[in-house]
Amino acid sequence: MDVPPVCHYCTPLTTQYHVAARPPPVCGEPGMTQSTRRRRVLIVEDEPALRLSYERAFRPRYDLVFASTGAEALEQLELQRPDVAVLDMRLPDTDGVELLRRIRLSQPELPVIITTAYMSIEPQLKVLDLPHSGYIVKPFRLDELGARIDAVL
Amino acid sequence: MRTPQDVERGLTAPERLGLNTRVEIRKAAIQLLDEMPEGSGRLVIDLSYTREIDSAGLGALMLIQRRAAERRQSVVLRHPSEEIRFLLVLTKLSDLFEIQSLDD
Repeated sequence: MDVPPVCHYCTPLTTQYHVAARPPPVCGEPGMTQSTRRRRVLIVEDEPALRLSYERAFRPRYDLVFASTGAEALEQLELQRPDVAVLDMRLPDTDGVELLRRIRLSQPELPVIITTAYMSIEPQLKVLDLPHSGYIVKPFRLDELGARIDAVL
Repeated sequence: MRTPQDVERGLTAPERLGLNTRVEIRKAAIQLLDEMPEGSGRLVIDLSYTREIDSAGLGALMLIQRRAAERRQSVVLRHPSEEIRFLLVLTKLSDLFEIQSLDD
């Protein structure tokens, strides 16, 4: 049998991130205080491949909650009470700034980071407030977003 | 039995794929694509060692993919780091390539 010409590669490296083997601790568990519990991050993103990347990168560090639409995000905000929300600017049923406006009605102090391909949203954010809000422009690195999340927590 | 689809060539991308390395990888990749019969074969670009890709590097990958498409060949990006996979998804380039992860 002929062997097809294939180049050989060196030993593959391990992945940078690992999904946590155990489920994250549940907020409100007995003995778990605000300072010791894992911080909860709501990520609002409708692209499944991006959600997977966020999952792999951040699950070891945070208690993650996902939503894929603005409506779902508002629901999760009430149910899960995250410490910070990361919103994609473009969502199927709304946009990040409008969603932020609605979040502010119920949670004025919640830190929010908007991921966007448009640098022009800064004036909109200024109109809306918002000392507890910011944005990060695509393309960005996962560790940059992680640093932004850590900075507002 | 060997089929035309079995034909595969591979190259390893540098640690930093960008302005200083884009020409080298583009030339090497296109040479490998040209070595394979038109209408068959695939080029595997190993990203195991690649830690950074800038816009020039993404441009080089796009040119390689375009050349492959012209020749009806495919390009596989093998073992990108989580950051690089994220970048490919974020820029929608993941739609143009077959991506093989370590956990696939």
